[in-house]
Amino acid sequence: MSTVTPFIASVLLLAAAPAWAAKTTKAPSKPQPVPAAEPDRAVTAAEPDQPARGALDFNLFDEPGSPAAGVAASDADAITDKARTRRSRLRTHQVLGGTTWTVMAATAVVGQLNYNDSYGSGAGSGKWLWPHRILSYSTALLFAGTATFALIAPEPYERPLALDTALLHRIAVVGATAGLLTQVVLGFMTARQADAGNSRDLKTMAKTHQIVGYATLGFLTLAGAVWLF
Amino acid sequence: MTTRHLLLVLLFASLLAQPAPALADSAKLVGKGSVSYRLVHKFHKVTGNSSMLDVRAVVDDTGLKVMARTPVTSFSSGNANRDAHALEVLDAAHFPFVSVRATLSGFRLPTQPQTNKLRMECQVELHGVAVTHPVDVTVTWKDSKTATVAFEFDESLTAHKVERPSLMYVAVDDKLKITGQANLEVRP
Repeated sequence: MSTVTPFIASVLLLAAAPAWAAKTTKAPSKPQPVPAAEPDRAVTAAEPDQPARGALDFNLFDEPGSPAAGVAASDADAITDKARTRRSRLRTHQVLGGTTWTVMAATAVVGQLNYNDSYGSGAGSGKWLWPHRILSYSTALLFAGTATFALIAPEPYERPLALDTALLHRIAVVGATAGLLTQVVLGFMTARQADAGNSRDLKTMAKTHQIVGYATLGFLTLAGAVWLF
Repeated sequence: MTTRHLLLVLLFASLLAQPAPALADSAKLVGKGSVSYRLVHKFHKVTGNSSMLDVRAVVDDTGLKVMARTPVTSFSSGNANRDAHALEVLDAAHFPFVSVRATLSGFRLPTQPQTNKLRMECQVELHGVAVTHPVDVTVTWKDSKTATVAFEFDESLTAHKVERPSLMYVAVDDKLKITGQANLEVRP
């Protein structure tokens, strides 16, 4: 027994030592390795609705990321459809808006020529009368069409009311609408009075028509320009 | 050696053989932060900010895994109309989060304050499309428990199949510059 006992003790100590040593050497004292920089940026795109793959296929957030909390899949589809419709209509609105501004500017130029011809130093030939009328009608129709496409564009996402470019655009458009309606009424009144041969206050009405016309063009210019800021 | 001595040796050996107190071989990190995007149009530049960046990370034997995400509805560019338009092109109803997953093999939590510049393999998911590329991240450890992370990288809108918004018939640049920071804390 006396010779066997130290041997057994040594064996037990040796058996226990590796486990102890392994645990003590597991301390996180290793410096952080930094992977070598890749020479080129490698970009690969996955298809929509497909989760991450390989080493990046993990989710550290318990709750699913899609669809959004409180939005059912069918509702999400409806919102996406509305967004698509909105984009289409606002693209048309944008194109029509630019066209309306161009035609309105031409109307103002021709209107000024007509004013000069009728009430200025012109010969009163009336050669600008119909071009001005055609351009005026075209402007009114384009303006109405542009407004319609904006008004029927659905709003899939809430837009809180705030003093931003969209609100300034709307304010300017309200001014342009008021000016255009005034122009239609004033233009008809002035034309009918002139057709009837009643020259009383005719020049004053024409002058008012001219001022309101420029103001309307100014409002429409502002409505478009605010998007640049 | 007597039997009593033998028993003492056995007792000592058995104590050594007991499992040592568990050392942390994995740790979780959680944090909050902010993220911004910068978009350039020929007529002006747009910056959108979100302070709802949520970060979670795990450090284990394999290294570091990080996931961060932000609701796309949380970005504000100071223009409600533009933000609503952004939600439309990003299809926020189907893809409500922009998320980033990143890994770094061999990573270990530091034991003392230090700053590391890391290049991590990242997967950025925007508009439901995941794009993988390396991202440079600066991590500043204030101590062994808290860190600040700063990052900056570029994303391509078309790579994420995002229709580039246009203004006055001119589309915005394809490049989207992303910057942000987050404060992380080691949780047991």
